[in-house]
Amino acid sequence: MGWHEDLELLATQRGGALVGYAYTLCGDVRQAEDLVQEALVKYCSRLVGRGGRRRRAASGMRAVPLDGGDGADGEEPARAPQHPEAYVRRMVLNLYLDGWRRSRKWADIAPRVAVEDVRFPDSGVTARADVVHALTRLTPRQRASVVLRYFEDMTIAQVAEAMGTAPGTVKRYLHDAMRTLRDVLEPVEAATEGERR
Amino acid sequence: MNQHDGRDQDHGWVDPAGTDFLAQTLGAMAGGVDPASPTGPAAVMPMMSKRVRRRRTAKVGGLGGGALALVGALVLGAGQLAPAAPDQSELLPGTSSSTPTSSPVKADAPDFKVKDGYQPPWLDWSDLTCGMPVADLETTAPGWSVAPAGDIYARTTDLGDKPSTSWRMAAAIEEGPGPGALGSSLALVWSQDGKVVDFGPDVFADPGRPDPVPLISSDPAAYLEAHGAEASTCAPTRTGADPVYEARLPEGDYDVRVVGFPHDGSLPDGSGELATVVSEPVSVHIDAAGAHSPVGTRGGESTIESPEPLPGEISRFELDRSTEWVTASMTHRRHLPAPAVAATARCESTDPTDTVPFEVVEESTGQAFRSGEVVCDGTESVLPFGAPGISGGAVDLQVPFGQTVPDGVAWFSVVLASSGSADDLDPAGDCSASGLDVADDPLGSPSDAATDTADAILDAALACDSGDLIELATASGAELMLPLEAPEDTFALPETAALPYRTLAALLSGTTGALLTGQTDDGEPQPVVWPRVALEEYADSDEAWQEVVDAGLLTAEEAAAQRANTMYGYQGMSLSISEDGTWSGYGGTGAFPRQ
Repeated sequence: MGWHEDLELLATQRGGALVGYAYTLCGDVRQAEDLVQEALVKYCSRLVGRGGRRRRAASGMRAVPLDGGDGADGEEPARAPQHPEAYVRRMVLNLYLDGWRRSRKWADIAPRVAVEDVRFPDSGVTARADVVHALTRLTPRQRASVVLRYFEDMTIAQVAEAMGTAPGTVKRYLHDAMRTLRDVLEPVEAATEGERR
Repeated sequence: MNQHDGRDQDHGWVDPAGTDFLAQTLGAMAGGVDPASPTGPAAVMPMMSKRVRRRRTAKVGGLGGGALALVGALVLGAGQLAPAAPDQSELLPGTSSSTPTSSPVKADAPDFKVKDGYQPPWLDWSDLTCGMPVADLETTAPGWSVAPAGDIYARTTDLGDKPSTSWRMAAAIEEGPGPGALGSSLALVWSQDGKVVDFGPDVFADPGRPDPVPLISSDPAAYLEAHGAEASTCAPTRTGADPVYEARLPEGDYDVRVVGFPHDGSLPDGSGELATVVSEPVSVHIDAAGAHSPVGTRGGESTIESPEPLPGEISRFELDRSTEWVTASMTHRRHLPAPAVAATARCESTDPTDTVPFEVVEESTGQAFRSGEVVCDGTESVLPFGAPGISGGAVDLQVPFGQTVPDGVAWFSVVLASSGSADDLDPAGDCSASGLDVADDPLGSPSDAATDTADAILDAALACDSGDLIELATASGAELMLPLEAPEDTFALPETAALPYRTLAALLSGTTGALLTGQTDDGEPQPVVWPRVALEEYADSDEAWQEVVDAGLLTAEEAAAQRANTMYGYQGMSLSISEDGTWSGYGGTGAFPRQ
C-alpha cells in the first residue's frame, strides 16, 4: 500500500477520531484540524522507503527515518510503523507541544478561543463549559498529561514515554493539573449526574 | 469509560476524585467533533495529497538547507565570497537614509498599556505573566546565574523602508551543574514601579541560532547578547497564538533584568524542562532618543557630534558618554556587496592617548573580516579597507570580544561606507540578472510543459520581473528555499544576498533538466530537475558537472570537491518543475546520500 492509500484511509476513516484527539489537546477545532493535517502530511511525506519506493530509496535518494531524524547521517531508510494511527497521534502530540513551546510554529493560524467554539452536537453528552474552560488554564504539558491519562487511558509510564519525560514529572503535571481543575471537578458529580452517559 | 484499575505501572499515582468526569468531558469534546467538517482531514484530502507530493518532490528535487549557505559563492563563482547565512534573506540591500531611528516612540504606535495577567505564548510553560510583581521573577534553575555586563544599546535596521530598533545588552552567564543548557537567547525584561512591563522578544522563535558577541561590554568575559523587544510584549494589540506587539515602552525610568530560560537536559533528545535564571536589575532610562544606561563616573565632555550620513554608508556604531546617560547604537543603513569599503572613526577621551579597537564583522556569522583602532584625541581617522571580502549582508562594527572601552572615553564612533563611487555600490542595479549575457531559452528538458514553465521563469528572471516570478511561484505553490520563504521574500527587489535572479538564469540557461523518476505514484507527474547533475543518475557525468561550472554555479574546484564527495555529490542550487509544468521547488540541494 502506498502513501496515498495510507493517507486516504487515515483521513477518511480515522480523521474524525484524530481531530477529536487533537481537540482535547488544543481546545480549538480548527487548530485541531490543522494539527491532524500537518501530522498526516508529515507522516506520508516520510514514507519514502515504503512499498514501491523501497527500490527508489536504494537508488540513492534520501530516505528519512520515522523517528524524527533527517536521514542524512546514514541511518536506515524509513519503514512504515506498525500502527499508523498511533504514530500519527504521537505526531499530533509532538506538534502540539512543540508548536506551543515555540509559538511561531502556528503563527499562520488565526487565534481562536476554545470555550466559545466548543461543540458537542451529536455526541449526546453534555460537557460543562466550566470544565472545558478550566482545561485552558493548564499548561500544554499539563494538559497533554491529562489527555493521555484520562482520554487515551494510558498508564503513568506510558504517558511519560509518550511525552519523553520521567514518570515523576508526569505525576507532577497531573498533580498540578488536578489542583487547577479541582474547583470545577469536585462539585460536579451531583450537579451533572443526570447528564452523563 | 476510562478506568485505571489494575494498573501496575502507575508509580504510586492514585487518581483523585473527579477524574471520571474529566474523562467524560474529554470524551465528549472528542466525540463532538464533526467528522464531516468541511475543513477536516477527509474534506481536504486532495490538498493534503498535493502537500505530500510537493514535499516529496522538494526533498528529492533539490531543496534542502545544507547547501543554502553556498548560494552566494555558487552564483558569483568567486573565491573571495563567504557563505551566506540562512537568515540573510531578510536582510535586503537598501539605500542610505538619514531618518532618525532611535526614538522609542513611533508616531503611529498605539498607546502603551500593560495587559495585566497576559502571558506571551512562548512563556506558557511558566507562571510568568505581565504585570506580575518583579520581586516574584526569580531564578529557578539550580546553580545558574546571569549578570548584565554592559550598557544597553540599540540595534537599528534602516534600509530606507521601515526602520526597526531593538535593544541589546552584553551578559555573562554561569551555567549550573548537570546536563542542562541554554537553548535560546537571553531576554531583557523590563519593570517599572515593581511590575513587569515587558518580557522581551520571543527568545524561542529562532532556536539554535548562536547569539552574536555583544558589540560592547564592560566584562571581557561576557559573550552573550541579551535581546530587548522593539515593542513591549506585555502590551499586545492582538493576543492569541499569533500576537501582535506594537506599543513601545514610554519615556521613563525602568529596571532591566537579563533573563534566560535554560533547560535541565532531562529529555532523551537533549532538551528538558525549562527554568528561569534572572539577573540583578540595572537602571535604564528611556527618552525620545532611545534607551540609556547611566554613565556614572565614565565619560566626560565631548566636542564631537554625530556625523551626517556618509555617501554609501553601510553601518555605523556610536557611543556617546558625554551626558549623564549613555547613548549607544548600531545602525545598518545598507548591506554589502560593495566593491571597496572604508571606516571613518573618531574618539575623544579625557585621556587623549586612549585608544579604542574595533572590528568589522559579518553580522550573520559573527566573523570579523577587518579591524582597526582609533586614538581618542578627537581627530578623524579614515581606514581604507579595500574589498570587503564577503558576498553580502549586514555588517556590524564592534569592540573586539574580550576588550572594553576605556572609562575616560566620552565619544567613539565608526562609520563604514563604500569607498567606491555611487555607481559602484551595486553594479548590477537592484537585480543580479540585469544585463546578464546568457541564452534566453532554457537548454531543454524531457518535458514540454516543464520546458514551457522553465522558459517563463527564465524570461522573468532575465527581465528582473519580480511580479512575474512571484506570480509563477505562487500559482504553482512552489516551495522556495529552506527555511521556506514566501515568493515575495525570495524574489524581492532589491535582491537578497542569495541573488535568486542570477541563479535562476544560470540554472535554466546553462544547465540541462532531467527527469527524476520513481518519486511519485504511477501516472502522477514526475519532477524535472535542473541541473541534472543533482540526480544520482548524472552524479558521475563529466558533461553534467561541466555544465554547472560553465553556468557559473560552481567553480571548477568546488565542482571537483563536490564530485569527490561520494556521500552528497552536488550541493548547489537547483530547481524542480513537474512534468505537468507545475513549478515545485527552488533552493539549495540537500543531503543526497549516494550509494
